[in-house]
Amino acid sequence: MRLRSPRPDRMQQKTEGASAVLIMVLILLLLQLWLLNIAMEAFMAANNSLAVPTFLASAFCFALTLYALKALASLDKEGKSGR
Amino acid sequence: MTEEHRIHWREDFPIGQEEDQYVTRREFTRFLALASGAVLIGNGYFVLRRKQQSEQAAEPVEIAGAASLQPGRALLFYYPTPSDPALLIRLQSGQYVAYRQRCTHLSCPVLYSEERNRLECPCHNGMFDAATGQVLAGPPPRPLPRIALHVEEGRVLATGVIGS
Repeated sequence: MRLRSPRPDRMQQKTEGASAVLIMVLILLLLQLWLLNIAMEAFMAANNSLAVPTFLASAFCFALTLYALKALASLDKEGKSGR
Repeated sequence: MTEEHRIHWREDFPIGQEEDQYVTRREFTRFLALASGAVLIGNGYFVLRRKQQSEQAAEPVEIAGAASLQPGRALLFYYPTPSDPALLIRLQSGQYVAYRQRCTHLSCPVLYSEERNRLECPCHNGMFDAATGQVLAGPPPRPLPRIALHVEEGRVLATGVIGS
């Protein structure tokens, strides 16, 4: 009996793709944490003018994260159809 | 060892290392996306609080007992919400000033010192000028948030919070 080859090259490509998405999402999350910190500092100082801009910037980062997740899902689909 | 024996372990462990790494990274990325949503909700909280505060601060509130306050003395009151302590100070000149009571360093309550005519934070020795709210010494990074006042017919009204 001979087992199917796991096709390491294709799998390696997928892993590299997932790593790239992971790094991007991680950077976006760090940016969001920084924005949250700014919003909190401003709130503690009774300066509310930064609440909306930081929220909008954070929402943009979240949208990019969702887009990255979509790319990850398409990577998954690609892998399944390629089998 | 025969060829058949050699491939048995592959049937026991059918997931390759590369595939395992891929799945782990994908799942971790999903977790990070969840964290990203949580951080966004955190930012939204400050937007909601801002809205609440602007609605509450729209109405002027009379500070009870302010008229009988002697020069060089301070009075504790709550503004704009019952959970926001503030200090009304009557300076030696007779002028009224008011600040939020939270230190801009780590939110400890500041106290008015009559002898030195300044506001002092007992936690980390932060000091603020009583007339302006500016930082005189210590770790506070910003002046104290000031409360806008309106004096009419002996009554003192708090009309809003001026951010530092």
